[in-house]
Amino acid sequence: MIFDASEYHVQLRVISQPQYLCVIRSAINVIGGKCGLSSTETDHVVLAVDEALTNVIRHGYKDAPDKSIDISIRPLNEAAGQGIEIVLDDECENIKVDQIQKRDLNELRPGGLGIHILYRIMDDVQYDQRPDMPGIRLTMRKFHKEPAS
Amino acid sequence: MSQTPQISGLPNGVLVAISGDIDYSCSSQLRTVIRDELDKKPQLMIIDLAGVPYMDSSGVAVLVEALQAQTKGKRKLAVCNLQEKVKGIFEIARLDMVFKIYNSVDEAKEA
Repeated sequence: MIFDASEYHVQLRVISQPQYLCVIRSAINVIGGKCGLSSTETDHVVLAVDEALTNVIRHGYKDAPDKSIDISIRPLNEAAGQGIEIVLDDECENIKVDQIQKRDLNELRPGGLGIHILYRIMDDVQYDQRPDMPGIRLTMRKFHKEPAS
Repeated sequence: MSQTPQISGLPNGVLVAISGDIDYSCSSQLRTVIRDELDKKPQLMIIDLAGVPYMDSSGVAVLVEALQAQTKGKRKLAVCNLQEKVKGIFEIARLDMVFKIYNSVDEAKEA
């Protein structure tokens, strides 16, 4: 999939400091409804994006406070329905896509939940090495689903 | 978190009341507070989440650590007053069946 920044309605850049996670949560919380997601779906997407950003800060940047993460957001209106696409671009040089794995939830242990939460919430999750520079591009999509009657 | 967790003594343990969002910016601070209380080996630790509108997996990890410590020592841990978004992450992480979750502090005291 070719990334074209001009297709994205909202673009944000956040520095790799956890104190700003709440800012991105607030933005997604507003944009989710505009993309046709329900309140609960939006809450879940907020959590998924928060987990993805935390993973970049913690594992990708190893808590370095001076890195950046670019967040691009657009509404989707496709055969699969209305929804939201969120792309996170980082500049992590030490992580390869094949190192990113979710863990078995049957094992009770404190860490490793973030990736699982991402896959559980989002309809599509794709990690790619960035073609233009070192780093990883995470593309996530979530479609609105009518509640079962 | 918007403020330091409030710690109150119980006849058989401790009540930890948390307020504000719990994410990676504050989960290590929460871990320190809870570990200090766990070190006192309370028979029952109740974690009151009434004031927590949002929690991510770094917050959940702190609670899992606390549960493991209490279980290892044959002591109890209960969480109570979960708001909807916090219930959501417990369900997504399939921890709603692992923790003892109560609707109020009074109910949790009977754990």
